[in-house]
Order: sequence, then C-alpha cells, then structure tokens
Amino acid sequence: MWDLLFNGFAEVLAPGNLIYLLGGVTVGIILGAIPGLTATMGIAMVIPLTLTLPPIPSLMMLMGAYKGGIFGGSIAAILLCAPGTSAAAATVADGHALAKAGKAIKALKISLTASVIGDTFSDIVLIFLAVNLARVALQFGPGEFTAVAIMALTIVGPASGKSLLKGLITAVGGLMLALIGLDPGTSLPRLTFDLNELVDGIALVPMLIGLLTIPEIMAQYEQRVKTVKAHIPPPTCKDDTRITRRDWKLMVRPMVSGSLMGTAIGIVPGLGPTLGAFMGYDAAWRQSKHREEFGRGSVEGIAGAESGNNSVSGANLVPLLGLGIPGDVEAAILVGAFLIHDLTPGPLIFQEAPNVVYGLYAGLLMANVLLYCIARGLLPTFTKAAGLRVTIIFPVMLVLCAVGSYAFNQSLFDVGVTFSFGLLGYALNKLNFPRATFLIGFILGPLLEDNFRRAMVISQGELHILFDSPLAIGLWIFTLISVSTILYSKWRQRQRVEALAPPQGQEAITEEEECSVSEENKGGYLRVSNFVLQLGGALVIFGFFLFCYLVVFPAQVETPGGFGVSALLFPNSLLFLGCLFSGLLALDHIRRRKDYGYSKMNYNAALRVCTYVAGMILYLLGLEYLGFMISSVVGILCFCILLGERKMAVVGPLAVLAPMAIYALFEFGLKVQLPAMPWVD
Amino acid sequence: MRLLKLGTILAGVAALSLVLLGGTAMAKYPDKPVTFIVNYGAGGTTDLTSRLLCSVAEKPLGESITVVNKAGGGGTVGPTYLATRKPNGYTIGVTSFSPMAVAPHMMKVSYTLKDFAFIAGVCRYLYGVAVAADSPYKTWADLMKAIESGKRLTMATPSPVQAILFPRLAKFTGKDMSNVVWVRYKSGKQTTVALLGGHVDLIVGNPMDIAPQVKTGQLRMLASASPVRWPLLPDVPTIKEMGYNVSIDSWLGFAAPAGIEESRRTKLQSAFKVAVEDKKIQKKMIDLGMAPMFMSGPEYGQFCAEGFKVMGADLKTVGLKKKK
Repeated sequence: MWDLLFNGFAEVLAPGNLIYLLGGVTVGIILGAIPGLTATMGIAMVIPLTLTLPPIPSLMMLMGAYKGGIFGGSIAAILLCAPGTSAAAATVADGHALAKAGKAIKALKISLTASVIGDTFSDIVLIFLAVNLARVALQFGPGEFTAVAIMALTIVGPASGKSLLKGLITAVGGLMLALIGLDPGTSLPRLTFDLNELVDGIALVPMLIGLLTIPEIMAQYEQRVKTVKAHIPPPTCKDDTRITRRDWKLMVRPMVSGSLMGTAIGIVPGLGPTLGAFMGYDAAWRQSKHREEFGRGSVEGIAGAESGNNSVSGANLVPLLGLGIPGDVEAAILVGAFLIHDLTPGPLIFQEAPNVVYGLYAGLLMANVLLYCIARGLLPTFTKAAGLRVTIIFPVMLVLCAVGSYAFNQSLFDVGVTFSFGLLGYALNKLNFPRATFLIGFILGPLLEDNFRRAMVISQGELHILFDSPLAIGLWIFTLISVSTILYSKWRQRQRVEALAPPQGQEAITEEEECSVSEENKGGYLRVSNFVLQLGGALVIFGFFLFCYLVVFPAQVETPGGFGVSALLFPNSLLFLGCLFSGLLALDHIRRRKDYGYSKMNYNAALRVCTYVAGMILYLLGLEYLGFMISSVVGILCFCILLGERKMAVVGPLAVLAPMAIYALFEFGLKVQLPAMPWVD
Repeated sequence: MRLLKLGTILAGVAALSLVLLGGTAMAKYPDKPVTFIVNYGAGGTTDLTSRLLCSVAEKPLGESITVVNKAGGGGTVGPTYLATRKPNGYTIGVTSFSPMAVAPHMMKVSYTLKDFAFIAGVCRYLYGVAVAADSPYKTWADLMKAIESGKRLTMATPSPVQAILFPRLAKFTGKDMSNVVWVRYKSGKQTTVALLGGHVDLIVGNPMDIAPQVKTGQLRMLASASPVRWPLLPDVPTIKEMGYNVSIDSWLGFAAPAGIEESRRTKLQSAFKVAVEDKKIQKKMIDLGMAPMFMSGPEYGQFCAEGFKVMGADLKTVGLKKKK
C-alpha cells in the first residue's frame, strides 16, 4: 500500500498534473465564493474540460474544484453575509459578525485552517478505512435514517439562541416548507397549488440566499446611509488579521469534533456537507465555555462548522470507492467522470486500476496543501473587494444573488423565491426569530419524512422498525443524551439569568434596542409596545398553522389508500406542533407582559422598506420582459442612488461594467444563458 | 397624389423585402444556432444523451445547437416552456415519454400532445428487475413462485413508471400481486443502496443503477423489464421471453412546438437520424444505460399517444391518478 501511495504522489507531483490540480482548486474557490454558484456547478463546469485528459489529472481537477468550492463558500459567508454554497450556511452568522468587527482576515484564516485540517483528516480516514467503513454505511435503512434525522434535529436547541420556543417554531416552519413537492409515499404533487415550478419542491440554494443575504441588504437600506461607510471595516490592530495563540487554543477542540462529525456524516450516503457543517457547529457549541459568543462572532463556531463541512468531502468517497454509491450530488457527478474514463467506481476499482485510486488519494492530500496556499494568496484580494463602500457593493451583490439563484434551474421563479424568502427573513429578524433553525428544518425535513414513510410501508405501520437494530438503538440513546443536555443547559441558563438580572428593566432594554430603527432617522415615528408586536407575531403564526390545518392541507394533499400510513399523518403532526409551540409562545408573552418596552416604528424607514420591495418586484419583471442587461444596468443605477451614493463618476461605469462582467462569466464561462431580451428571437 | 405614390413605393418595398426575407428563410434553414431545451438537470442520463446526440446532429444540420437545461416539475417544466415558443424551428427540446404520457395523469400540466410536432424518438430507457446477490431468488421463476405463494415482498423504485410492472403482471396472469409492496425512493441510486443493505427485497431500475453492481457480484439481475435485452447485460432474458407478455417501455424523444413547417421538421428529423445511427455515439449511449434506436417523429407521437392511454388506465388501478 505504501509503495502505491508513494507512486501516486510521484504521479501527482509531475508538473503536468500539478497544473490541473491547481486550476481545479482555483476555479472551485472562485465559483464557491460567488453566492449561488455551488461546488456542484464547479464540478459540472470542469467535467467537459476533463474529457480529453487521462483519468488521474481529470479526477484531480474535479476533486480540486470540489474542495475549493466548499471552502470558497465560506469566503462569501464571512465577507458578504451570503453563503457561497449551502454548506457555508452555518458559518454566516459568526463569520460575518467577526468581519463587521474588522476581523475579516482572522475569520477567513480560521475558516481556511479548519477546512484544510478537517479535509485532511477525512482524506486519511478514506485512505485507510474506505472499504471497511463502506460496509457499515449500508446498515443505514429507513429506520436508522429516521433516527439520524431526529438526532440531527436536536441541533435546533443550540441554534435557537435566546428563545427555544421561537427556534422550534421556525424549525417547524422549515419542515413544513419541505413538504412542498412530490409526496414521498405516492409521488403525487402535494401543496404545489398547481404550479409546475413547485413540483420538485422549493430549491435550497435560492431559498438560502434569500433567507440569509437579502435581509442584510434590506437592513442597510432601511437605515438611510448618511456617511458612506465601508462594508467591511479595516482591521484595528495586528491581532485582527491573524490567528492568535488564544484563538488556536479555542479552535483545537471544535476542529477535532467537527472533523469527526463531518467524516461520520460523509460516510453515510445522502447526508451531505450542509448537515456536516451544522453538526460541527453544534458539537463546538456543546463543548464551549463561551456559548454566549455563538452567533456573534465565535471563533469556535467557525472552526466547528468549517471543519465539519470540509471533512464530508473526503469521506464522501468512502461509499463511492467502497460500494460504487455516491454520497451526495457532487459525488454523483464524479461517478459520471469515472465512467467517461471507462472506470467503474466500486470495490473492483482497487484491482482494476489501483494506480488511479492511489493517484486520487495523493491528489486529495495535495489538493489540501494547494487549497491552503492558493487561498492564502487570494485572501487579500477578496478582502479588499469586500472593503468597498456598501453603496457600491450591495447593488452588485443583489444582482449577483438574483443571477446566482437563476443559474441553477435557469428559472425566474427561483429569483422570485429568493426575493420572497428575503422578506420572510427580514420579518423573522424584526421579531427576533432565529433563521438558522428554519434552514435546519428545511434540510432535515425530507430525510425525516421520506425515511419514516418508507419505514412504515416496510413494517406495515409497526413502530418497532425504528428500534430494530443496535445501530438504531445507539442513535436513539445519542438523541436522548443530546436533548437532556440541551434542556439542562437551558435550565442552568435561566437560573443564572434570574440570579444575575434585576427583576425588571434589563430585558426590556435589550429588546428595545433590537427592535427599534436607527436614531439617525428624523421624521415621524410611531411608538409601539413590544408586547403587542411580539404577541401579534405569535398569534399570526398560530393562525397560520390553524388555517393550514383547516383549509390548505386537506385540499392540497391527496390521500389515496394503500401506500403505508396516511399521507396527512406527517404534515398534520407538524401543524399540531406548530400550533402547540406558537400557542405556548403567546402564553409566554402574556405571562411576561410587564417586561416589555416600546420600540419606535419610523415612517420613513417603513416607506423605504416598501420602495425596496417594489424595487425587487420591478427588477424581477424587468428580467422577464427586458432581459438581464437592461434591467441590471437600470437596477444597479437606481439602487446605488437610493442607497445614497452620490459619486456619479463611480456609479455610471459600475452600473454598466458589473452586469457585463457577470454576463460574460455566465454566458461564456459557465455556459448558462441569462434572460435575454424577449423581442430578440 | 404624391402621398399615394410614396405609399405604393413603400408598400412595394415592404412586399419585396418580405418576399426576399421569406424566400431566404425558405431556402435556408437553419441560418442561426438552434436552442435545445433539456427537461432535466445537467449531468443526468437524459442530459448527457441529449448533448451527445446534439453534438453530432449539428453537422448534418449545418448550424450549432445550444443546449439549455430547464429542469423542474418532474421533467414537465421543459416541455411547458417549449410549447409556448415560436414554431420556427429554432427552439426544440426533449419531450421524453414520462412528461408526455405519465406526468399529465399525476399533475396538472398546461400542455397536451397536440402542442408538439415530434421530431424523433432516439432511444429507449431500459428497466430491469434485480435482487441482492445473497437473495433466495436465483431466477425470475423463483421470484414469481414466491409472489404467487403470497409472500410479502418490498420493491424499491424511484417513480411509479417502474412500480407499474407488478400491477401489469397481475393483470396478465389474473393473480393478485398486491403482496409486492412499493417503497418509493428519491433516486435510482438510493434504491440500489437499500437493496445492497438488505432493507428491501427487490428493485426495478435502470442500467446505471444495476449494471455496475451486477458486474462486481453484489447484485443479481433476474430479468429485463424492457421489450429488449440490455446491451450491457445481454445474457439476462426479458420478461416477455419468459412467457409473460408484459413490459415497461419508455423512450427519449425530441419535439418542436406544434405549427413548425414540415420541411424544417423533416430536416431536424434526418439530422437526428444521422446522430442516432452513428456507431461511436451508440457505444456511448449504451454505456449511459440506453438502447439506441430510431423512430420517426410521427411514429414517436403515435407511441406517446398510445402510452398516454395505457398509463392512464394503469395509474387509475393503483390509485395514483390525480383527482381532478
């Protein structure tokens, strides 16, 4: 084995091959850093280039693009508050918080280090254990996957922040959103309202971009920017740009646990790097002594999430090489690349083409080294770009978000999805509901429901199938431990708060700060009780769940017999939980009604939000009826001016050049056609 | 008077230019790139096969073909878009069997078969029945015996198209086969994993999901459920050969929006005929799990129309037809 690995390194290090690895990694980082363009697209884009290459360089190029892409996602997450790929969703909150404190480079370096270490760890696991571990992965049947999904859902606890109830409500919301699409038992459309675009469900990437990025832009827009400031402030001292000894100490444990989590998730087919990131983040939170920092710029959080998602990438090849089964979408595209070169992924490949396998192993390890070097080289450029003024960077970002959502299915419907979820995210922010739990629910929903339904079909409705194997029982025990630690820590937290805080006032002030708009805004405002606002929010949500139960679901879910448990069982259970949690939240608000303060609703700000929404609708219509170029030029121009940018010498060229650059990248680089002017046929 | 003259001249010029333009258009089609809509995402079997064929059809057509993916809606978003394009021969696309004959029974779609002028059927999707290597069912006869004895068996497939096999067998033999229980998975690969892990008893799937594991000895294929044997596993007989006149037949076919000039349609048809009959392309299509075969546009339209009726009746018997 060692001599094979040695030969692999010799082959990879040949200058001719190294170039391809270098190219793959660079393409991956850049595509990953653009919101909406995922590692998947990076690989899909590289495949045609590899057709004429021998197997080893082409696989290296693909793996380089894959690894680069997953790391690249965190660049946008940190600098722009936009997850470049869905796997970076867990990094957004902490990464961007650090960047806003002038520590962008520190955050990027932490992310890079954690990524490379996680990746290397999982590659080593792959190299030594591939074939044996692949067998274990097969033990996961519908019952075990149901247990995995429930176990993973316990992340909602730590991700909820201050209010567990609010986190639970948004998690139920995410699970409900995932119901849209084909019914997993019957494959009849469900909750699609007869729209073909909804038959495959809401697409993850557009939803993600909308929910996490657009609210950020809207919040900036809402407060008129008087002094034009930089999007990311410059570092204030030397420690802001490097990983200090204290950071290192904080990072070690999250990186170890994140790598272990991510690798375990990668080995089981069908879970993927996004879950790896959230599980890594969760593990970091559980071990942390500084839990209050999570979500506000925690070094541990970034380290956990980034080692968690990157360590999925190597382990994903375990099922691919061990069994011939791709672990996720990216690996599925890699299967195509193997087949093109007349190689069948699976256990036989170790006998058929050991040199390719070991070349691939060596390539994986080399890719990590190169990823580190290239990314270190590119960091200053990225940071400089993000250091531009908000008035310039946000309009371009908005166009990029729209185009990124469009690119995946080439569908304007998805752009609408992005904008709509932007509004939802904005509303959730205003009412202090966490958004991360919504995403967790949405990602885990299909895993949970599909497998539960399958289990029920196989066992004819007997629940014992969920506890049949030792593996499943182990997973359930893990879940129990996880739930009890969360409840215990919440209880401790409450006790500590009650011991420390004065009986009244403290909480009221914080709530007021978060809800009120900036004092800079002059003009009329309305004094609204936070109690009314919060109770109103809870009641509206309660009403929504009830309305779904009484009107929407019975009409939109078909229930033919003979396909296991009723198709309404799972959706209705969610609605029940939704009603329960929102009802409890309303009661909780009433119980604590004396603690609330007031917030100022500014007329001007409200008006600006309305113009923003109108602007997004107009831009969407423009894409449909005027094509990409015209609407984007006009859109950037208007948005720059509305944001308060006065230097026309900057705005003019920007409005023309930015859409042209984006157009060139998509049309010629990615071969994705952007909406054209409809009258040119 | 003068105005009238000017008017006449203008009208004359307009008429002349129309004739000229029309004439050139008649004389030469195509004179610019043709856009080709694929109704599934990039990288899948349908996408790769279509791209292969387009790359060859460009030569006899004399213009390049740009492939655009319009995925979504279980393959119905592409045809929906295609049906609303101008029938000038510059936008064509995939109208495979599933969105033409299956999906309209299960969901609301805005098109009917009449909205398309079919160009060609280019290849068969292949289906087969497979069990794990350690399964007690060594042959198709073993499996049928177990089913007829009333043993409960779980069968995994990604869509009703494959699952319909056993209701059809039940109809043919006149025996009850409701003991074969359908477990739905999201993709063919997932069904393979479930079968390898022993979580289901059998799968009905495509060559890409079965053939590699058969070659490594992890799975055993009992029968081809298509009307023909698989080029990748030519030793396995079809269900028909074993005395059951039952099969699942699904094709990949292309179309233009209805109303296209017949001369343009035939030009496209012959271009794709050349592509399908290219030996190199056939080899690659076989590797992708397809059975290359040419069917003219009208034949393919007829095939879809008949399939539409049969599928409708079959889906109704299993309770999967949409209510409205």
